[in-house]
Amino acid sequence: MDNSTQYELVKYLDGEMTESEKAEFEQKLATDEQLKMELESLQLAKAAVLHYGLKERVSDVHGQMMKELKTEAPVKKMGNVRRIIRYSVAVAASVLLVFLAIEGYNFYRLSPNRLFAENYTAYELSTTRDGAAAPETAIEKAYRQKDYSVVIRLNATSVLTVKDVFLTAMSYLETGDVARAISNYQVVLADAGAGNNPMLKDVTDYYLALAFLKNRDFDEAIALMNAIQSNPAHLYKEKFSSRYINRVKRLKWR
Amino acid sequence: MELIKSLSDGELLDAIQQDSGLDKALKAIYRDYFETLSWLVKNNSGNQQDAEDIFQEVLVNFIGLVQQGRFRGESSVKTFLFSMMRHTWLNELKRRGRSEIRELKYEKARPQDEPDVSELIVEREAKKQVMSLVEQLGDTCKEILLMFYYENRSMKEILAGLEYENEQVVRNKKYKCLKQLEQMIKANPFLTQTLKNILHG
Repeated sequence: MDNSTQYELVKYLDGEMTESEKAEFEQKLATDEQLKMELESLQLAKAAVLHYGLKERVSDVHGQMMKELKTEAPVKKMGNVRRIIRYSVAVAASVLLVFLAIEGYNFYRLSPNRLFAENYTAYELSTTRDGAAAPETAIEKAYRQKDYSVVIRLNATSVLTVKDVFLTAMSYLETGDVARAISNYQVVLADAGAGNNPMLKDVTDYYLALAFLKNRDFDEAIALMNAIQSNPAHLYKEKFSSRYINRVKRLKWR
Repeated sequence: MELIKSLSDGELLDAIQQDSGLDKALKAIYRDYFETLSWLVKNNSGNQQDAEDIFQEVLVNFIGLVQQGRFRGESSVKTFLFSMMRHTWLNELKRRGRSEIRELKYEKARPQDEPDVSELIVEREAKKQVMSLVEQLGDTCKEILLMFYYENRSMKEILAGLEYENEQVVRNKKYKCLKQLEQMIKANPFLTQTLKNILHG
């Protein structure tokens, strides 16, 4: 094959012929099998170059993208210490979550009546009486029989001792008339609080604090409970723990 | 970091057909499909390097098919790539001689609507030989041929980057390099057939 034909072949392969040159060359190709085979060989060489170029280009992009994808999603290998810390934090978070859930539930369920019921113990008159003691009053008798309406009625018609007033207060509390119970407790304290009857004062403090709670007078209830708790000699000191008083405080937030 | 948006199949194919959009298309494919498709290899006896090699090979084949107009869009790009990845990795497992069990597992797992791409996948070995032959041409020949045929640079542009007297000298050099490559290919009938497959499908 002469140089001129070789030159033409490459020019055709490279798409550098004019339309007329191309048409004339394709006529030659149609009749010259040798020329056609030569062209095909050169086309294969060109295909190899194109394949090589594409492979290199994909390889370049591959390198860039591997860096990028690894940056975006680094494989985190945790050391043992880090793993332990992570699990510990997870456990602590779970415990905290459970604790908060319980506290939240308790807060939801918190009510003056519930707290009142938790702490309240009905007052019982002593059954042991010695001969020197004063005879039992009608109010005491009615109270012992839990006949609270009689106690309240007698309160309006009798001359009362301070203890009768206390029992009347207790009867109001038992029958749900908290406001009147509070008034009567305050009368008892005015008398017994002067040091006349310390035992009666302590028991009245206790029931008055609970009456304040039930009546939603939280500030008064908290103040009295704190006073009881902080007095080591108070007979009802153990009735009001700090936790209990804190729960009463929370009622103010509801 | 460059922001790469996901492309629809249509946008992806358009970008591949326009040479200027090829990098963008390749990056979008990596973003959208690499993790999923590499899992296919890594979950079937392959490692990360295997997955990367196979994925690159699949991409070269896929782009070749799209640029030659042989991808007809009968399945989605994702399904097509998935199928190519599976076949290419299966062929590699066969070549490694530990394929029997895996092949069975693989074939059982093949979805019924998956396109059959086995005939479209060009032999790995032959492609390696193509790469090796071009490497053997030497740096200058490789550079001139790549700039002219793959990058579509003009002789004037090629001359600007090389130490030759004029365009005609570069043209002559290019011709010699091409002829050298042609002779090397002719000497290998298996390679000749493979390249014919690449060229004509």
